[in-house]
Formats: sequence, structure tokens, C-alpha cells
Amino acid sequence: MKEKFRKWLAGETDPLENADLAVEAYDASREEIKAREKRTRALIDQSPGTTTAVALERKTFQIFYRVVAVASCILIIGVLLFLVAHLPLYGEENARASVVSDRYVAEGVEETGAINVVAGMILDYRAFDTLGESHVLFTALVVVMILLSLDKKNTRKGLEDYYRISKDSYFDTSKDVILRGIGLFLVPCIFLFGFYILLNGQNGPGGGFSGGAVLGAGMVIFTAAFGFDHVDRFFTRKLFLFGSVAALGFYSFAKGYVFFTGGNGIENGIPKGTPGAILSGGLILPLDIAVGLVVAFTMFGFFSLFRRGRIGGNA
Amino acid sequence: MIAWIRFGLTAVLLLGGILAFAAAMLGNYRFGYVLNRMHAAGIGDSLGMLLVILSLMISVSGGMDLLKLAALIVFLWCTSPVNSHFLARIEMEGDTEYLKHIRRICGEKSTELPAETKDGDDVKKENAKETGTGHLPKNHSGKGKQARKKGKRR
Amino acid sequence: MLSEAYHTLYSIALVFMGCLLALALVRTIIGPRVTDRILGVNMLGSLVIAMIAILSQMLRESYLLDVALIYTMISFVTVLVLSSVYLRKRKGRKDD
Repeated sequence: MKEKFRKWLAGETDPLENADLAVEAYDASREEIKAREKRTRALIDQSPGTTTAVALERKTFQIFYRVVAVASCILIIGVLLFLVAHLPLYGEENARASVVSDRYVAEGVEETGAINVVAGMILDYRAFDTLGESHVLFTALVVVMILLSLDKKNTRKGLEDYYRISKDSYFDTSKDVILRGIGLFLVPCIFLFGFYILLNGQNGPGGGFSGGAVLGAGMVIFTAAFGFDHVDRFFTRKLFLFGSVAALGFYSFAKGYVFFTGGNGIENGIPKGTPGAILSGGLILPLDIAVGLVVAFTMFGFFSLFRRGRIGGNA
Repeated sequence: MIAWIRFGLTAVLLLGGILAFAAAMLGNYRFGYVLNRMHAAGIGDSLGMLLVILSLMISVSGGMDLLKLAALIVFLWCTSPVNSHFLARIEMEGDTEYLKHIRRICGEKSTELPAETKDGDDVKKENAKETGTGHLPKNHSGKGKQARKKGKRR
Repeated sequence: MLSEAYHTLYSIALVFMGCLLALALVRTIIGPRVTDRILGVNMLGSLVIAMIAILSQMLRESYLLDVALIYTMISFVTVLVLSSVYLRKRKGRKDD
């Protein structure tokens, strides 16, 4: 035991040396294909007429790219450090922004109608930031879709290759009898729990983001238990895109209406209800549902894209 | 007085639960192969959690907490066996050399055929000579067969 | 007097389980096979769920039990997705 510890301390052992992961055969053929591509590219590069111009362009672009990358990194780090230097110290009593936060804490329950003051802040006083966050989630999902989608342009030719990649890279857990039996009981309970968290955003901890995450995880468990064929029946690409766009659009318009009336001093006619009930807090409940939808779709979209390269629909 | 009885019961059950978790961790360190360690981890998931949650149920104040604790233990007991099932599947199906590990831990003779065979003696002995362990599932890799033939055979 | 006794009891339990957490982490780092590590992460999750339940009684906050439920589900999804990555089909073998 001491020998092992001394070896680990000196950095001689490799902690992963006994990790047995079998390497499949298709990895070898992928290397062959890479080597072949490299050879053809070398042949193209050597032909006269393309050498000098292409090489010069590549070099200038590389230098330009590196200079701009380093400069922008230094700029962003400099700006952030400058901002951090102006923050108040940790635990200081007379912090800078105390005027606003005192008002939020003191009159949050009356003005927003929500017991959970944090939910009242992020969805009523500062709803613009939450709008930005939901759009960030949606943008991330669209970017991942662009990068990871498998279609005819970026799969190898020959049907057997595509079939092998899509079917053999991951084990199909949906053919397991035990998981299917447990999934029948567990998945409805998880969805119910997710809706409970989603709807109680204004009364206790929870709200849009955590409720949406639980719903997304429930969708993942459903897919693992019953297979992608079942899910493809109702979770199509159209539903996914239209649902996300509708949720974000509803959020924008609803909050835009409140900004318009608040900015012009008009009373917006949205009832606040009694604090503590489910239908309270004015617009907090519908906005929670919109945010939760976006988060759930994003989570399941990521899972589906990383697994098979598409969201719903056929090949 | 009743409050003190409640406290005593809570203390006893909670300490029992902690002892169960400690036993599970001890088993995690003493066993040599991962499938044996899974048996020990299962004690932590089922007995340990049951005792801890029972002790909390006794000292709780309010019906909602009681129901949430009950839902927690039901949910955990439904998902813990599925976890063990998938871990066992990773071991048995993903690794084609699990016999090597079993022989390393439990000794060379543990993967033999039973000594006495009634009717069909010759057929079983022939099968044993050909493929090695007749009662474990067949392996399709040729290297495995050679390695198994080297083991002691009676 | 009674609440102090409860507080002491829960504190002892939490400290002990913290030591068990460290031990499980060491096992996750050492364990030579992949399955050892997934098993270690599962044990970590179970210990954390028990600790959160005890904490919810210690601090008298009932929403921490919701967190424990969610964490159970998360550890379940972890093992599912990891096992579907590490299970490879053997050649010539049909699925059940």
C-alpha cells in the first residue's frame, strides 16, 4: 500500500491503466478514411497554381486570427476585472445598491403578489433579464443543432456505414424489460412532480427553471425506457420549434405590455390575487410556464441531438 | 415524557442507519471485484435509507413532510434495483473477459463443472473438454477459448 | 433541552456521513474499472440524499425534501445514460 502511495505521489502510475474499454472495429476504419482524405488533400495542394496563393492566404489568415483572438481575450478580461474592482467588499454594511434591494424586500409581497420574493424579482421587477436568459437557452440549442445535425451532407456514403453509426454507437436501453416496467410507474410521477414545481414558483422555491429541468429529465427517462420510436410520434420537430418560439413570443409580448403601461404610468389590469394561492402573483404564473417549456425543450433537444443527430422526425 | 421517548427512538434508528451506511462503505473497500461491491452498496441504498427515513418520520411535525418522506423512500426503492441491474449488465455484457476476474478473486477451481453428472455423462464431458465451462454462456472470441482451456479441468 | 439534543444528534450524524462521503470519493478515484466509478458515484448520490433529508429536519425547512427527490431522479438518469454509453454489443449476439 505504501509502495502504491509513493508511486502515486511521484506520478509514476496511471490511474486509468486498468480501465478496460474495448475499442470497436469501426474506429480503425475511421482512421483509414482520415488517412485517405489527408492523402487526397496533399495531392491537391501539390498541384501547380494552387500552391502559392492558397498557402499565402492560409498564413495571413492564421496570423490575423491569432492576433485578434488574443486581443479580444485581453479586452474582455480587462473589462471584467475593472468591473470587479468596483464591487463593494464582502460583508460590507453600506453596500452600493441597498436602496433598490431594500425596496424589493420591503414591498415585494404587496407589489408583485408573490410570497417567494426571488421569483417576484426575476419575473416581475427584473423580467427583462429572464427574457434574455431564455433567449440564450434557445440560441444555444440552435447552435448545437447547426453543429451536430446529421444529414446527407456530412455522413459517409453507403447505407451500412450510417446504419452502423446510428445503431451501434450507443446501447439501446429501451429493450430492457425491467426498465420498461419501472418506467411505466415512474415517468408519470416524475412529470407530476415537475408540474408541481413549475406551478408553485411564486409560493415557494421552484419556478420556471427548476421545473423545466425536471420535466426535461423526465423526458430523457421516458426515452430511455421506451425508445425513440414512441417519442417521435408526439415530439416532432415542428412541435419543438413552434413550441419554443411560441413560448418566447408570449413572454416578450406579455412583458412588453407590462413595460409599456408601467413606463407610461398606466395601471395594468392584471389581477394580483391573494398571496399563497396558486393563481396569484399576476403574470408570474404564465411566465413561469413559458420559461419552463423552453427549458424542458432545450434539455430534451440537447439529449436527442447528442444521441442521434436530429430532433424527431425521420432520417 | 412522550417527547423524550420519541427522541430516544429517533436516536436509535438514526444510529442504526448510519451503521448500515458504514457497513456498506466497509464492504466497498474489502471486496475485490466490482460485482461483489455492488452487493455491499445495495445495503446502503435499501437498509440504510430505510432506517434513516423512519427515524426522521418519527420526529417530524406536519403531515406534508411525512408524505414527502414516504414518497422519497418509495421512489428510491423503485430506482435503486434498476441501477444495480444496469451496472451488472455493463459488467457481464460489455466485458468479454469476466471469467478472468472471477478466477482471480474466487480461485482457480470456482468455474468448474460440478463433479457428478448423471445421465448424459459422455455428452457433458465432451462439451466440457471442447468449450471449457459448459454451464456459463458461450464466448465468441477465439482468444477466450484458449485461455479457458488452460485452466484446471477434472 | 430537547431541541439541543436533536441538534447534537443530527450534527453527529452529518459529520459521520461526511467522512463516508470522502471515503466513497476515494473509491471512485481508485477503482480500476469503469463500473467501479459509476458505482462510486451512485453511492455518493445515496449518501447525499440521506444528508439532505437529515438537514431538512435540522433546519425545519420542508422544501429540502423536494431537492432530495430531484437528486434521486438525477442519480437514476446518470446511471441510465452512462450505461447506455459503456454497453457495447458483442459481435454476433442478439438482444433479448
